[in-house]
Amino acid sequence: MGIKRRIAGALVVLAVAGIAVSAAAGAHRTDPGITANSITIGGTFPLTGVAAAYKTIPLAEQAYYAYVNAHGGVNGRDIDFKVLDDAYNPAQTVPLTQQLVEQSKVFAVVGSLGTAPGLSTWTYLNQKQVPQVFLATGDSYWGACEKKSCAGSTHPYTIGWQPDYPAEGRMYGKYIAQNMPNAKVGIIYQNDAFGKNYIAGLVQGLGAKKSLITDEEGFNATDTTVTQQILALKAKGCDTLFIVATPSQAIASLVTATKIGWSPTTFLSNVSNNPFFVHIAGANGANLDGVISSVYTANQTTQATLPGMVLGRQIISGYAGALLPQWDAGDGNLVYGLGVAWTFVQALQQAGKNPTRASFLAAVHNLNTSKNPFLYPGISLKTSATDGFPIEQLQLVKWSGGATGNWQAVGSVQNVGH
Amino acid sequence: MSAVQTREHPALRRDRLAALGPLGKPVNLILVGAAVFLLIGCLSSQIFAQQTVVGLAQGAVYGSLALALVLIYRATEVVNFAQGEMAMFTTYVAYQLTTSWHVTYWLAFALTLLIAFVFGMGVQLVFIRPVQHTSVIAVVIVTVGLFILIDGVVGWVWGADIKFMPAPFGNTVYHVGGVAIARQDIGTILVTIASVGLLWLLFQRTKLGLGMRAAALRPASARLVGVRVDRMLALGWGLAAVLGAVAGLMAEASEYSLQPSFMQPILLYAFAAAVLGGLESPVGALVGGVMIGIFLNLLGQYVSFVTSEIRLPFAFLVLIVVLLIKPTGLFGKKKVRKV
Repeated sequence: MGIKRRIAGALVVLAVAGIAVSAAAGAHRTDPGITANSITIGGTFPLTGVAAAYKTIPLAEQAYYAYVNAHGGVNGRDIDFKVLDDAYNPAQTVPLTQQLVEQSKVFAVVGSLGTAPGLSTWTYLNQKQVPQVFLATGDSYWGACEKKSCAGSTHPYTIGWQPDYPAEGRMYGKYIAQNMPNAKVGIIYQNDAFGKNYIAGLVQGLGAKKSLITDEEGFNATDTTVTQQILALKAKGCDTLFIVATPSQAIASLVTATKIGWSPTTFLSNVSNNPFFVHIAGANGANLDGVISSVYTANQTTQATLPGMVLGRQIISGYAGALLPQWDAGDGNLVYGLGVAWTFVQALQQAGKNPTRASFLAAVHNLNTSKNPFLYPGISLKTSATDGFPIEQLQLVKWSGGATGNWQAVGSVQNVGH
Repeated sequence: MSAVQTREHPALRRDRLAALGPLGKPVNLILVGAAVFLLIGCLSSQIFAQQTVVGLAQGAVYGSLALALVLIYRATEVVNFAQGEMAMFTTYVAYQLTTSWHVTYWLAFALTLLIAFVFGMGVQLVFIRPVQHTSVIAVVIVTVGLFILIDGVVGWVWGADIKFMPAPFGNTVYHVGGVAIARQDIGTILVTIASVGLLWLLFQRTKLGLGMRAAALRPASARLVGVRVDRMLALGWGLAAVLGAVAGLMAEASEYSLQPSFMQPILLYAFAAAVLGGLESPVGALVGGVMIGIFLNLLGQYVSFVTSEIRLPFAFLVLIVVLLIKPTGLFGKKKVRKV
């Protein structure tokens, strides 16, 4: 016993010493993925599969990095952005993310898309201490460090980018409570975390007026038929419709409401307000004028003369020429991708001449700029050691111009922060 | 089913009459009851009528696909798990014709049915025939493989992002006594009736149809009297693919968008419809489809716990109950083994 215990004690001492030594060595080592003239980053995206409509996001990001590289890179380093296709399937996201970290030795995982894919990899990335930044999803997990300090949260290496879903729901709730005090609100929602997050936000925003919610009808993500639910909402006497859906069901909801002779005041979650899709609903006969939604990126159609949109079109035509028709058709995902890539470059510049993962993370949590030219004018990027939500402002917009129309601003930019 | 063919084989005739025999009666009662219930409901409530109309159009789509399943079940004695994906593939063919090659919708529709027919026969020849005489499970596994194969090929050729096609019936909506009836829904129902009617004529009024029925029901005897059974079975697969193509095109038109997964929930409803009607019965498949379409909508409207989460499980509850209580479905007949 005695000897055994002594051996065990010695082993513990050795182990502790070993950790101390490797930690000390680590402090002087450069982090993976970064050399004197390059920085390798990567992300997983649905290039195929159910969510492939979002594939233009990474393509726009690649175009932006190519543009930056052509102009000298960041502190002389070219950005090498590795895009892998996880088909929106978390089971694929895990090995692909491991591939990025262990084979491609990326410095950080940037902009990966989807809530479930993000959740499937965040424990791994945080254990490996790889930054997982600017995730393309509106769930609130990514900024949840807010209440404590972000560095002390369970996933300090993770952060999102866009306003979260509850924040958007809150804004509509407040709008209804203030402007439509007698509304009878009907909600059609995707019955998962995405849909329920929005409803939770709406209820918060309505506050004392939450009894205005008259009916809620859910649908499964895989079920593209929503007619029965829309009919039920109309039958319950709702005069206000809140659509929480991805594009195919959102289009079906807009068209069906019109076809059954129902013209509620409609709120459309901004995940589906890409004018590209709204135009399809119009072509199928939906009444669009007056539909309310919100934006945080600029609009290349209605704001084509903004410097950011002029630059955006130049970048797309110069570095991703095949996407130019998509840009001109008003695909908002391209602007989104440019905005994310701009944010990464900004954080990298702030991280110093020779960035480490630690200095980069510190920069990510110290953003304060309104210069991102791809965001809606007046919306800024702001984070701190206790704030893990980069964008916390939204612009309310209303559709006008019918089937070929577009979004027009209502009022000014609103803070929707926590 | 009243027309009796003079050349009909006695065995076929016996089978058919047996289906209308004593077992036919409770079915008729159920159907008349359901019809009366729907009629009273529609007359007394606007929303009831509205959900019924919409359910009828959805049910027509389920019914077409269920009928395709039944055709293949009768011919090959397996459920074709790839039926929905075959329909999805042909819908993409129509997408290619209309959107990329600018063929007008109805010409593209006709071409697509033709292509579907050839495609269905090709699938039978290449994939099914080699394993058909080995075991049922082998054929089932081949159809599951086909499901995955077609899904992959479509994703590879057309990409998996959301696609849009021209609307076949325009955006007109009629209002009848406060009930909105989209031309789209009327069109779906009419196209289904037309395609099923043509199929019925083919089976009941032509020598070819007689041969196909004989090949499906009594392959050995049919072969003895000179029916080319293999050819008939391939024709059956071709026709099933045509029906599937109709279902796919109508489903696309009522959902306004096209994605590779769009037929998967519809296939599941079609399974339930086919089992409800009796896997052996073409009429049953159609009636089952319409019943599933209407009653799921009514349940969603009136039974508060039947939310979208429970919609698909509910269709399967129907399936399980039918299999437990009356495994042959509403219209099926008991298999009697003659010694």
